[in-house]
Amino acid sequence: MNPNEPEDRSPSMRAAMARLDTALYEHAGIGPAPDLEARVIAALAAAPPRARTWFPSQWLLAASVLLGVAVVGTVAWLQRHSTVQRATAPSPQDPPAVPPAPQDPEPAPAVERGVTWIADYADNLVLAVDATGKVLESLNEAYGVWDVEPIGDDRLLITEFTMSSVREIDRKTKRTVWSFGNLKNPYDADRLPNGNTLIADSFGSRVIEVDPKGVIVWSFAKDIRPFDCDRLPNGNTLIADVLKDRVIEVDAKGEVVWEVRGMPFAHDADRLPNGNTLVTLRNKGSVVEVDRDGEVVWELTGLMSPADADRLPNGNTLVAENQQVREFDPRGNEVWKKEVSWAVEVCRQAR
Amino acid sequence: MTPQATPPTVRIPAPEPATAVEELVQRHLRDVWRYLRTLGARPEHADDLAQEAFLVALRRGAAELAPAATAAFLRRTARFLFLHHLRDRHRDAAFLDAVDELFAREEANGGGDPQLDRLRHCLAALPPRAREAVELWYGVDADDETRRDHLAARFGLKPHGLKSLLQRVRRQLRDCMEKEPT
Repeated sequence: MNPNEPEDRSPSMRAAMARLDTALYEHAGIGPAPDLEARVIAALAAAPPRARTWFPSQWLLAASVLLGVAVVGTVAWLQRHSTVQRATAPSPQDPPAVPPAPQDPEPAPAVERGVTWIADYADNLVLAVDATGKVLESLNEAYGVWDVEPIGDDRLLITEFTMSSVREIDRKTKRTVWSFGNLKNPYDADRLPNGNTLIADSFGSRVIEVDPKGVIVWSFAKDIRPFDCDRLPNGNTLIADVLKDRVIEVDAKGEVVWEVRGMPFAHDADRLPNGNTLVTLRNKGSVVEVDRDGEVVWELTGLMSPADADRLPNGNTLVAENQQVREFDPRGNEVWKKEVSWAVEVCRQAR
Repeated sequence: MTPQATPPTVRIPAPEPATAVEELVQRHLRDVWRYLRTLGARPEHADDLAQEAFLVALRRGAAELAPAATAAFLRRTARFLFLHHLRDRHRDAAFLDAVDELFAREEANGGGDPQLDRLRHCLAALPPRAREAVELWYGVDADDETRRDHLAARFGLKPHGLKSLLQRVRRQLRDCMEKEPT
């Protein structure tokens, strides 16, 4: 049923009303088919569940990899070279972006793409891929990851929205070496230079800094729903606040010292070296760069539900979208792409 | 005199203990189905997709996880099957995310059954006319406008008037359910 919806059309309100409708129908007797449980059990018995494996047959995969090495190598060489060509000669057809470039849109220099880390929310997977898209490393035992960042060469910090935890994982053993779990569906965590961890405890409505012992040494919890947080070089903290459609910078005392409003569903906000701020607007399918006055100086549009974006040292912008990660040059030309099921976080690490 | 027959012994077979898979289905199936309905699946479609979600998710090891992770895995699988069926993986992602978040919180608070109990408490607190209207509305075929028009007439309202009444009642119910203790 859908009698006139209430005035609040926010996603969370629409979800709450849709959930209410489901419950009302269930109360009225419209539930699962009476035999559904038996059907599912019978279907599972006919096709018994397997233990989780990373490939139906690891031997088959190994054989495939060996046979494909030559092809992959060739494709890798071609991709590296054709990428640079595309960057220097952008295609005029159907560009996904309308960017009034803030800086001289000179072609991006040839870049070493290093390792790109991707959190794939759909597949419960964290991936590291090289410039050719080849998977170098993966982490399967991670659930609902919305943020991942490498720490040094041997650790990963992951934020598991589903499990309400932040974990530091040894990449070699895949073991958890540190965790913090007193959270409510967090979206982001960063390891700070002092060894503490800054966490956007999204549904705990706070940003917290915890030390290695798990002691909260700083927090900001003034009516926010933070989806992203970054500690800035000046000691302040940048927060993407979905509750009030804004990005704010708060100082150590918790005073808001900078704010830009009108940023609906901001999933990510990064302070750039030039002082501007890069904001990912998931709902609008765009990434915007705003200056200190809040003016949009660059915009990338036509994206598919972007959840994260990073400005790279070469001036390109790396975006995690549904089904893919793409890198765009300042003109909005796609210069690199990796298809996945549902990318929610991406970061690039120099090799 | 015929010898008295010994009454036959009827042994009622004890129910076999549920297997791990059965327990898992019993624990999660209804909530996966509710999740699909909340995303927008019709009831019979939710049946099919829920079944498929279990097949896919358990094949990928969902049964080996902690219950909350299993539930999340099943929902995510169900969501993708739903969007795949629609051939529209990008449909209103913000709404879909909000539904995800809502069910993750619901799971942490005991799943959908306590939610249904809360709804029943809240319905019981409504004025009789409002309660009857909402229960009858959701009980009739959603596609049958004629029947819903008849329902409006029964309350002495025009169809639009009944919808306005229901809109108010839904808001009341939502507010009540947020306040109702778990």
